[in-house]
Amino acid sequence: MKSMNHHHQQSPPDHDDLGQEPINWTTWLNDNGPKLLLYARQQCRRDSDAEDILQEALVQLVRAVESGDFRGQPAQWVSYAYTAIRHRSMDRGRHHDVRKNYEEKLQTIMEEEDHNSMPWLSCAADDEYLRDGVEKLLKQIPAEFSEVIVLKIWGERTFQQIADILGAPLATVSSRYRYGLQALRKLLENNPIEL
Amino acid sequence: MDPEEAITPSNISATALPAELNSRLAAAMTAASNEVRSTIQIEQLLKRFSPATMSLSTQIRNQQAIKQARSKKASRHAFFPRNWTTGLAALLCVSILSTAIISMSQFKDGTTSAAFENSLVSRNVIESKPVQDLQWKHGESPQRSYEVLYEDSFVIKNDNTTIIITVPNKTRVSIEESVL
Repeated sequence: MKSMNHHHQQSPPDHDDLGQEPINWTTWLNDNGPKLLLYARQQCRRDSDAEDILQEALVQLVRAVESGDFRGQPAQWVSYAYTAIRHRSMDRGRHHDVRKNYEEKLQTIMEEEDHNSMPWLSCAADDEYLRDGVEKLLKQIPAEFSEVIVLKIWGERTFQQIADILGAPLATVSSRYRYGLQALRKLLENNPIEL
Repeated sequence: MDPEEAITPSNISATALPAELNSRLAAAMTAASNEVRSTIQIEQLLKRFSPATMSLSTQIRNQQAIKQARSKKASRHAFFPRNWTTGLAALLCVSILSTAIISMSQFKDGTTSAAFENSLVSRNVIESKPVQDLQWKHGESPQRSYEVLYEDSFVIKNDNTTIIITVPNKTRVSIEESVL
């Protein structure tokens, strides 16, 4: 069955209403998309969910910026997008939690396989042999630790910004980062990879 | 002060503490130093990597989503302009148009018909062409956007008179398409 949604055609404006520089979203997406997708992957069980959530977060950001509802500076857009990704993945996680039948269990197995199939990280050719090992370690430590590590190292957020994104105290965030690195170190001691 | 230097056991004064305590403290600080050093090594190891680049399809999909979000915003502004002078002008135009329509619905006998109660609307598709590639989300039917030029005919009837108003109407339509 086909459904139709009508809305009037209008070409997008090249400038915002305040006469400021035009926003080049393509450039912004190229610069920030990979790190946002990495965070979405860290938050979701499935890559397909991560991609959906990233898209929804981007649309939310663009609407907030273009409508003037978002009062912050462009430098804060990334943090806004991280927060949107987090909230949406939490909502999706709750949705997943309420379904616990056989099909769900079967799907979980498929999700785990999917989860492990797409690379989270890229690196120079010399380090390629390390990539799998590092990704596996990141997936083994508690999610609350890896979340902070992803935001700090690859999201290039400060601890204060991470605290704002997670809605957690600054001390908690820095502790999680430290514990996360320690957990990685212990895993490395038990399963050494040649550096 | 160099942080590495600050946690080196040799910095501790051997005369200030009893030998046993000094030794235990030095051992603890050495352990802490090693831990800090190995933690820094882990951090450096992680920094050798960067987030995987987005696939081309993901990139295109997100670009299209952004584009759509922007055009929806532009559409909203067309109806609800934020600038009050533009809003006032739009209100004036609507008022003039309403007056014109009401005057058109006055008939020869001088009565004002309740024309809109009897009005009919017919719609002919003049032209239809796809303007965007398929958009889809996982778990949903894919969508394609079309630009459709309609010709809308408003037929206003009275006992004696029939008025037909034809208005071209260009609309963008999103249609869900099922994949076999």
